[in-house]
Amino acid sequence: MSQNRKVGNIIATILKYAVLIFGAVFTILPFVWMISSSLKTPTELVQIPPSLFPETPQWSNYQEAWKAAPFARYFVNTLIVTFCTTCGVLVTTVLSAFAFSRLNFPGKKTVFSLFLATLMIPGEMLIITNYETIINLKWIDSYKAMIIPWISSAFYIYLLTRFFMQVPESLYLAAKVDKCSDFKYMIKIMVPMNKQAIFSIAILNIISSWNAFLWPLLVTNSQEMRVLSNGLVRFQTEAGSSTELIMAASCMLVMPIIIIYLFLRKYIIEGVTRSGLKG
Amino acid sequence: MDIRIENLTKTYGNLNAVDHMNLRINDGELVGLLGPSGCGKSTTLFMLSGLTTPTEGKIFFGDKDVTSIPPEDREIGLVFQNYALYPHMTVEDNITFPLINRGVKKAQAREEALEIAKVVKIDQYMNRKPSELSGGQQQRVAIARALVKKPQVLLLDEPLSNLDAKLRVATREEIRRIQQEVKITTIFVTHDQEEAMSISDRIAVMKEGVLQQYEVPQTMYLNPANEFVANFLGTPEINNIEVDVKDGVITAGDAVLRTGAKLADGHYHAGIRPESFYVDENGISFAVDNLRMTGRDLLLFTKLGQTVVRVLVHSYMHVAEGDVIKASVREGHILVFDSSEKLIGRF
Repeated sequence: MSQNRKVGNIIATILKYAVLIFGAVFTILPFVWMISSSLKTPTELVQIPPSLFPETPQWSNYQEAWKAAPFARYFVNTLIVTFCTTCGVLVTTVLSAFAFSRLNFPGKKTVFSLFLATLMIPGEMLIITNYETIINLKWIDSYKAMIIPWISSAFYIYLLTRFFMQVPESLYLAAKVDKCSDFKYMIKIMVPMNKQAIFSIAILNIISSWNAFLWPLLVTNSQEMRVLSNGLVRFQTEAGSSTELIMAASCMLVMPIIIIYLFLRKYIIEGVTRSGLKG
Repeated sequence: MDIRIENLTKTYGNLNAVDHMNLRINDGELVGLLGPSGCGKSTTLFMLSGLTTPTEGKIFFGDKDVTSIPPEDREIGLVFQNYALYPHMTVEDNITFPLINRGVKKAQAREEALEIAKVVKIDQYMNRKPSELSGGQQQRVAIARALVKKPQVLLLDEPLSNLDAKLRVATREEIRRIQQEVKITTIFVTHDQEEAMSISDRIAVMKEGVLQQYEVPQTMYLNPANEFVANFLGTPEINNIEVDVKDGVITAGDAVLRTGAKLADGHYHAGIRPESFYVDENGISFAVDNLRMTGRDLLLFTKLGQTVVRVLVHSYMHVAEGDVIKASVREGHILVFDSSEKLIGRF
């Protein structure tokens, strides 16, 4: 009996790992391919059958890619936009989630429903109307245009509101008896208690902001205002695309995100598993 | 601090959660608010704390009308049923929190926190997080946090309901000790009558928002104001018996319970506690249908007429199922109620 169970356990473990390895290979392969392509010569890149590793790593691809566009400038721009939108998102999300979860004001439910309803509007629709607004405000080709439309997110507000609602009301009442104002309660109790969720929101926003392509492309004209992802287009010329350079540039683009992810990994995993949602 | 509650009422929709309640609590007393769930005891406590606003009526702390004073300025300490400790803060930060919010300097707050932590005996856990403490310890932290600002009144909402049975007894003694040591007027809510009787100076029994009786535990137990209080207090539960009175003779079915009672002829509800019976050769015959050993006592299930009657005897008595015992009711232990369930006499 116990022998059977042992064998069963081993088989289950093997199956589990097989599935995990299968999934991991599928996720990792594009990354490996990107890195290896970035180190190949153009001939090696199109050779049949393709090789997984370049014969001699062409580190010069990175130099060339870096020189092809003002990447330093793009990098700074991306950093500014990502930092500002993430700070903005955190402030608006925490404040509104607190209001929706703890405060009572007339029309609370209606306003919350309207927030949720905006989740159903496709992003493309928003781009058109937001673009018109930006034009009317004469914000084209400015940081404002890239930042302001993205400093609040109905989805994150919804997510954090659910987290805040799980905090028992008695904590709020206890804080009240302890002469703690609403704002102080939010900062000292609610935020630290839900720091995993807030970290998750921050990292999800950093990723999406870092990778944003369409919107920055639409609202900027000048070279000085472009962001990293826009820079990749540079390699697509009429004469064809230099894939190895795109790959090198892509590697440089994703590196900061991967580093941030590795540092905050613990919080993301906890936050996402607790919310039962996938990033 | 004396507390006076006058005509206190809280209405939710059509429901009177608390209905014109009047209560006077003397300085330094420990009072238990007792009743089944939904009887308005917690609502009363939250009105005392200021977290719930009364629909009607007034609350006085001493001579001061506090009805419209917000909770943070009422000088109350409140302990919640789930303790409501801040999980991300250490025990020390939890206890100093009310002081820091009141503008006390950090060093001073820490000193005062340590002082109160010693009273509740958690001073060795000051650097732990609440999740690293047992339920009983968590509760002491909550009490320390409530007491650290030196309130005039301590309010406890179901302080023992989250603890296991053994810890409950120890903790209720602990609450009594702390209350005596700090000499603070304390009101606690409970649905456990034994808990209320064991530590309270006085008990207020509530039912459907209405105060039924406010008394010293022993007096209340022996002299319940009405059938509800009689039924609510005591384990095993009181026996409810239908009795007839004719010419001063109280009978239940064929059995004569008492003679010479000064009671008008008629049909009444009566209550007899299981421990009010004593073995008596000249008493009524009871056939033992069933029995339960509880340790100190032996609980016999018998019948008086058609009604099942619980009789408590010492556990060293030799009885078995099917035996017949003879027993009488102690003088003054037949509680007779009128048609409105009020106590009209003890016989």
